[in-house]
Amino acid sequence: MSAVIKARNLSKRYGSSVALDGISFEIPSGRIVGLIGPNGAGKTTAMKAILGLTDFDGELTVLGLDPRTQRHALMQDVCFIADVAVLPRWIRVHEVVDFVEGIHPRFSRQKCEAFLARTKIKRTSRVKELSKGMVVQLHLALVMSIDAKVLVLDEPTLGLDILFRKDFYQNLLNDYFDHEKTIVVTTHQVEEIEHILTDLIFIQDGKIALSATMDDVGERFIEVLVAPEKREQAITLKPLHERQVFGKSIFLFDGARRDELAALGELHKPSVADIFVATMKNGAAA
Amino acid sequence: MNRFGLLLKREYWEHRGGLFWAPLWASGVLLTLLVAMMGLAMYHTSGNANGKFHFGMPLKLLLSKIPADEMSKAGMVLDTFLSGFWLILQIVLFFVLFFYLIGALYDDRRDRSILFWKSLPISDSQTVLSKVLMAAVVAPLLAWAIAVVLQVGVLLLLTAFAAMNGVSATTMLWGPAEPLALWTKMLLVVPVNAIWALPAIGWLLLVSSFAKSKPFLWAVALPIAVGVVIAIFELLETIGAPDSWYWQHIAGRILFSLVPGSWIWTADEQLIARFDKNGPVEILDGELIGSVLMSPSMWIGAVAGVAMIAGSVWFRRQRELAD
Repeated sequence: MSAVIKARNLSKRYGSSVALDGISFEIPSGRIVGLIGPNGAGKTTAMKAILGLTDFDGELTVLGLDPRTQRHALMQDVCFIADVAVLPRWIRVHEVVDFVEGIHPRFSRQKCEAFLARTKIKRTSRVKELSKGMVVQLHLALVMSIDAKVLVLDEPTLGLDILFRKDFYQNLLNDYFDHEKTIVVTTHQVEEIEHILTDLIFIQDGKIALSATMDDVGERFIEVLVAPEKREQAITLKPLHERQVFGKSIFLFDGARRDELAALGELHKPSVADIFVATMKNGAAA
Repeated sequence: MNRFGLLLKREYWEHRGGLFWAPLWASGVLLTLLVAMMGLAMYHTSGNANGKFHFGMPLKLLLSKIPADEMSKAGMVLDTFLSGFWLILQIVLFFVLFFYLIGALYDDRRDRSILFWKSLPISDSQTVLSKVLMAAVVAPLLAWAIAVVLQVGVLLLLTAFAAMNGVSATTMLWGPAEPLALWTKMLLVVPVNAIWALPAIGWLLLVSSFAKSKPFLWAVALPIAVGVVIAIFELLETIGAPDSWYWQHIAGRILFSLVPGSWIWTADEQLIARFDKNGPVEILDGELIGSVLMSPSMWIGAVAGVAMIAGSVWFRRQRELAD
């Protein structure tokens, strides 16, 4: 399957600050991609470019279309949740459902009603009368009822409590995702989405710091718990990152040989959050 | 339901308060005032105010004193009276539309809900056009319908008042009044208002689409500032035009063309001069509207308005969120 999103030399400046510094990447269909980076790294700008919400330099196609000039056609197949609570506050639940049904050719009212039936959302309520969690549930119900090819989620769970966040990703995986679809998601809370991701892209200072599938990540990155007497030996193998726990050192290696590392101590599979921290610190030093 | 209809419906949902409830409330207040005035008139002329000061004379007596040739003007007086109610609703409509347009492409950028609207397959030109059509046609038609209901209410109240005073409503009211003709004229004016208002609609939408904050200030202060600069440097004098030209044809048009009937000064003076004899409703005929539609000011303004609407579509694409 060819790439759903293709970016080559994608750049964006805001005045003198560079939000995206000539990044290139390809996202094939049927993937769930985590776009991860610190604040101001360019995640949201990349998302906006993909959705045709901002101008940019370089080449970018989404489903073969140029988001700048073919937004209208693109939005038939691309859905997004830009942030929490962007549903208009004045609209009533039944009005927004009617509206999306009338506007979007791929919307299924039946699916939407089924999602809403699981919530406590009243059809006659205005959005401003709903709790923050309910607004997200409503937004999610609307978006998941649209049979789009690409779904873009920018910090979809920001400000929500843990129960909603868990449900959110569970619903996304069970009720929405299939191999025809592609999901791109940005979040600060990497640990919550790492089990559903198939691909990772780290962005730092407008550049891509890491782009790999989760399988590759599992192969490449290894964490070793090293006793103090073997620390010097470990450092010679060029670890990516070191942190101290209970007098021992935890080293993170990228692409080292597994048998060599096993001699140093206990091996672990690192979390995406640890890889993220290590990559970001390394990038900052370089 | 077709997609464009749904866009109009969205505008209505969002602005039901201004587009529907405001004129309805105004109508309610006007009818209440009318009832109060009638009650006051009945009280002072019925002879019940024993020993207290009262003035005026009973309606029946009053009417009997009017000479027959003057009675022929009853229809005109009644039409003028009824059109006064329409005029008040039209002024309400002006304020509603002014603020509707200033917020139309700004409010959703400020509360970020533009990100939701833009996640749906609606082109920016469709969005902007739905707002133009709402302001130019749909809202005035709605205001027309409410005005008709209000005028029916007024006629019914007058009928009841006549009956209570022992005056025949058929000869005094329903004979001379021509409500159907009045309502047709009120409807006829809607498209004229719409074309005339295009520069104001265009300007307010343009500001609404580009302002990063305070769109009201932009909309009002910018044309005034330009006018002041022109006056100080006597820019127009150099091309032999008076300063008032700017205020009348530019600032006035982009700010006040939404005032219903403000195109009247472009009409042939002789046609307007009939006003004294015939009243405001009578002169609103095909001839007058024809002469207004022939004026260059009407069409130059319309072209400028369409250009500004196109500009606001462009800004709608480019601008991200407001502050």
